[in-house]
Amino acid sequence: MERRISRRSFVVGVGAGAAAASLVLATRESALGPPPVPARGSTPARSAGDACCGDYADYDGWLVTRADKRRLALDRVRYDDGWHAAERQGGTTLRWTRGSAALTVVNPRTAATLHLDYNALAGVFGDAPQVVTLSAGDHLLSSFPAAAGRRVLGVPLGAGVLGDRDLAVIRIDVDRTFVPASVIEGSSDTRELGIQVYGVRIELSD
Amino acid sequence: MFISVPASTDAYDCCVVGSGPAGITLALELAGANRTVLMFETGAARAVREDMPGAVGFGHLGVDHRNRHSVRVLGGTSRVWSGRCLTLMERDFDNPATGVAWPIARAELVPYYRRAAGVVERDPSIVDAERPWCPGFVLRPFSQRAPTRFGIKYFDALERSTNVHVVLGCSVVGLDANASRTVVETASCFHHASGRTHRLAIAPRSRIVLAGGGLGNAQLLLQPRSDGAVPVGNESGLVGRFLMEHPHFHGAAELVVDEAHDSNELVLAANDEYATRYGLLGSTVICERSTTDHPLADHLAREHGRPFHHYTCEIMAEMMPSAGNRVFLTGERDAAGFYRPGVRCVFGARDLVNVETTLRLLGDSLIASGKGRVRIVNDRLYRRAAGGGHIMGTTRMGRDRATSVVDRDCRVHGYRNLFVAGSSVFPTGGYANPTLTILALALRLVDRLAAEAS
Repeated sequence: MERRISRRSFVVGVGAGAAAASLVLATRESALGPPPVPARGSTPARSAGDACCGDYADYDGWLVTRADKRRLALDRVRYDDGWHAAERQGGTTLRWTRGSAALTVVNPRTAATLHLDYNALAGVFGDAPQVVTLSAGDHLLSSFPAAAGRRVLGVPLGAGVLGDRDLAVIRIDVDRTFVPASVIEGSSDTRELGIQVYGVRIELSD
Repeated sequence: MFISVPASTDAYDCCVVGSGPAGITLALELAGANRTVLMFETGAARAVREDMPGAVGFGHLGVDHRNRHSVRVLGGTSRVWSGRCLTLMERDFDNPATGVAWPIARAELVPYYRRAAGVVERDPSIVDAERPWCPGFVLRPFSQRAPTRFGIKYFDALERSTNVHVVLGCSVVGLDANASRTVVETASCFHHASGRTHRLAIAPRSRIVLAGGGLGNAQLLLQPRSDGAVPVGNESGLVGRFLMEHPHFHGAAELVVDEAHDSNELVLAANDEYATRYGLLGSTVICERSTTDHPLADHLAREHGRPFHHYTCEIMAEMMPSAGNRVFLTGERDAAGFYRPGVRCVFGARDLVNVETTLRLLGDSLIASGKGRVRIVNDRLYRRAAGGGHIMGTTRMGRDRATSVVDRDCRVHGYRNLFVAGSSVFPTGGYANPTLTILALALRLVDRLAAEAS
């Protein structure tokens, strides 16, 4: 008959340093059945001085802290309409917008900062760079001239600015697009392009 | 030198059955100690004998791995060895979680491990390659380099040696003992070229060492006798039982940690203290660094202000010894009249849960120490495990005949002149690739045999 170690005997065997007999019992019994598996969201009690996080959560199979889980959820972005297919560039993934692109993010429901990691090919527009506009519904979040080179723009999101739903849609618009085949010598790329987006994430304000 | 089958073993201190890593090491080391050796190999010097089918497998052995359990050629399974070298941990020799202990301690093997490293062209320092890494876990990188192909590497030494005589194309297919079953008196040898079997008289001075591998040793000792008596060497009834493999789990975990390591450097295992506390079987997490970004690595880098790196992991683990996992004989006979072996090797819930527990403890430790995070890929852990071509435990070592086949000197219980070398004597398998331990035990056996011969 298979025997399992009860959580109680496990804790006693581990936690009581003087109770050597309990430890022996626990290890002997473990030969007769599976060892106790720390349950998700909790860890077995340890003796004083042990390294122990005390609490962890599951995030797509990752054992993470609850704070990790909250923050990772905010990193999740769904690219909706207005995007070209993702491209790989030197180990990094990027996406071109078409002109007006939408993405769905997790609503932080509190003050936060939206970080837009982007790049614009300003050179193709001469002296007047593209103007990029970020909006959520009727709210204008930011509007700025897109300088050349990859950079991360931080856009403050006031509490409630993304509404009261779990998910919120953010639009990225540019005032002008370009077709590489038309403006770059030797290019055969006929796509209509806006800006390159390397990533979008939301960080809670302290 | 290479010879044909002699009439008797009068001229030899030792007869070695099988020319794999254990067999060749035994032969050359005994020759170096001025002892004479007769070694049998079923295959040829270069070409693998293909007319002797491998085992019929049941359970978790992949087809490709199963075929590697016996390679009939000079050098044996070193022909397909990956080249990984690692020692067993101290706890592997006496782990209450397995319910069985070795009759020897690791400390006794350490000098032989160092010598074994030289046999496979490694630095002896690989024996001590272990250091603390995070709470409860140690870094135990294995030595990975081009594998030593024994049949090629040591061919010239065997050919030149006057103390070692090698008989190729010849299988030892049976053993006979005296009435009291204390001495093996004859060995039946099948010569593949002529198709004939003849009985080789074993001289009183000669010792016989079976070095046919985890499968081959059991196969020989299980062969039925014409008189219906228990086969020589299987008086315990345990030959073939307690077969163990190393469950391999490819991609069963991912790590994000704050250290950048090249391949085969970040190799983690629970330390002895943690293993005792949680009743763990052995397992190791072998990490391969990804070349792409990972969102969790980015998140932790922002959080902690230092770079984090993503790894995908292979896990090799220990398997509980269980009498139900075993080598047995099928009704089919091969070219030498040998009954073909079958292998039953089924990983149990204990084997799989142990890996999950170890990964959870590692995850806990990484979080607590701020070094990173772990991901458990459930599907690959519980549904994709496969063997690694490491058959162990089928003639296991122990204190008495009631629980084991060979004693602490690798001598078959009750026999004066019959020994076993190779992974078949392991009572437990740990998680480490077995080759270095096979060689260490062979070198230890050399000392025993050389002493007896004098």
